[in-house]
Amino acid sequence: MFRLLATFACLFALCGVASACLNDSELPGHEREFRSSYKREAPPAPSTDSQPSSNTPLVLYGTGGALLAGAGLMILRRPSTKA
Amino acid sequence: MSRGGRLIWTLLAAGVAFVPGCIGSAFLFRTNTGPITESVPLPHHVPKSPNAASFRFAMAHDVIHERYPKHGSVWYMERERLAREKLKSVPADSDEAFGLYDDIGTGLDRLGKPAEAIPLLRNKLELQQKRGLSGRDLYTTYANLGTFIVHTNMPKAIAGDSKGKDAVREGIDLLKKSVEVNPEAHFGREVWQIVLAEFLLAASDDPKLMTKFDFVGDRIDQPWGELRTSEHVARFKDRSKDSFGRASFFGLGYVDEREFQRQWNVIGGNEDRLPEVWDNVKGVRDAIMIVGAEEDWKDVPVRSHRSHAEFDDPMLAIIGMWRQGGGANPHFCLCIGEIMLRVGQRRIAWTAYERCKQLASRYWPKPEIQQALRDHCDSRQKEIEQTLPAEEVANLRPNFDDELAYGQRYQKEYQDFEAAKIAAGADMHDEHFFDEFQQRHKPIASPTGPEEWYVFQKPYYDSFPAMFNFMLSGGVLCAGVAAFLMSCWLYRLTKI
Repeated sequence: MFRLLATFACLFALCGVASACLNDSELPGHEREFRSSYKREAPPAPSTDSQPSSNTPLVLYGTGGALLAGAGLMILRRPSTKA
Repeated sequence: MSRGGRLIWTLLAAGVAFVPGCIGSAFLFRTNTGPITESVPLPHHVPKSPNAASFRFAMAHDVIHERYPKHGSVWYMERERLAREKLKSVPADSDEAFGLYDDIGTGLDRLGKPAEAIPLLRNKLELQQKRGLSGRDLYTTYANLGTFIVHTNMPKAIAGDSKGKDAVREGIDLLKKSVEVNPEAHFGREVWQIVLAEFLLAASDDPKLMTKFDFVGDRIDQPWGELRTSEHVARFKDRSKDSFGRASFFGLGYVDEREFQRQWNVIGGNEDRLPEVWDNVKGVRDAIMIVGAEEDWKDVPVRSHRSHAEFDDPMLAIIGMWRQGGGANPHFCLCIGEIMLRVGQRRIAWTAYERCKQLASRYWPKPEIQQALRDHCDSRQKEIEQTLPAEEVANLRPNFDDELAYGQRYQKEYQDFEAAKIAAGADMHDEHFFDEFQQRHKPIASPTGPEEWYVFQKPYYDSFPAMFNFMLSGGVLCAGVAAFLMSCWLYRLTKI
């Protein structure tokens, strides 16, 4: 009975340790395939939702500049008058 | 009024409006701008050596659920038949013959007959030495022969047989030689295989070790909550205790994640180009979470592994041994569970414990140790479940069962396919042998995702240029509005 139990015990243990580094002709190909299976994906985009659009300053510059130009035009259009 | 006078008044109005415009827009920018975040790969994306593979969490998930192609016994029997046939036509001490011995030996091991492979590999070693080969040329022989000897004799060693233990030591010595002649081979699998063999050998003298440590030295006799705060995390004394349970030490000031991000951008995020910036990025590995060799491990006679290791090191070895070795194994499942828990991957850890429980009968011959393993896995799973939403917890087990069944079904179909092709007389060495199978099946590897990235908040001063630009543009707008209004008013005032 003890021998039977010991045999079973050995079989269990054998299954438990059957794990290791086996080197055969397939290994290099497997490793290449393995690496290519886990190609990196693009990173999540930085959370810039609450940031002002990068175009906003351009719009402000443009509008402000146009108004300044308009002001200059107004000054030029009316000639000097004597008080 | 003269043009000059109007110009002066207009410029004055513009100048007066410019200042509050700047202040107002700066205020608007600060109140409307949230934290700016950036992301960078976790430090384990930098492998141990420039051209080695790096770890992904999806790899651990996939071995646990058998999501990878795996040959069946028909494949190995056919390969052995072809190899033996070929051996008849090539010189016994040729390089080609040496490769065939490896193929036959590994096939026998996979078929559960490692003892039959030992004489074959001993013969190969003798022939190689007669030919004057040495060093790296003997790598596969040392590694395979050591493995077969350990596999054959470990059961006897565990049962207490002294000859079995001596034989295992011989196998370990051969594995050590394989590491000496080729230290960077195959994700360092041999190193951790030696550790496993030494640990099992130590446990054969003191089985209590099986309920105290996993094979890399992670403590399994303490609840997770206790483990996180217990004194033994004092090994992080030069780092922060807060880092326990994270995959990296990024953000704690030890390694500059922003510098890593710059280097990553230099190579366009292409891992294949890492060697180009190797000297600048190799230090990033210092930021990888360390595991194993926890408190009291110093008393365990596992001489090949004395101090903690970056977690990706044993993980890659386990994955390599699982996929290219004997497959699912309770020692590996337990170790994956413990490591994943320590790096904050609770869901992967949960599945590893679940698989571990399924394989518990193969953990150790004594039923009480098997039961202790099941109890430990249950306890870890409960602790993990307490940290997850209730609806997710309810789905953990059904999801695990479904996914494992999916992986096993894939492997069965793969093996049925190759068996059918071999039976039909197809050449198993043809590179297009599996084309038809691959066309019919989607790739089995899980995609990687956000778990691989460290997201960090940029320092507030990084937004200064953008804020200055916004401030200036606001000032220009206000100046323009004020100048235009002033010029209109003066236009009307000035009569021709």
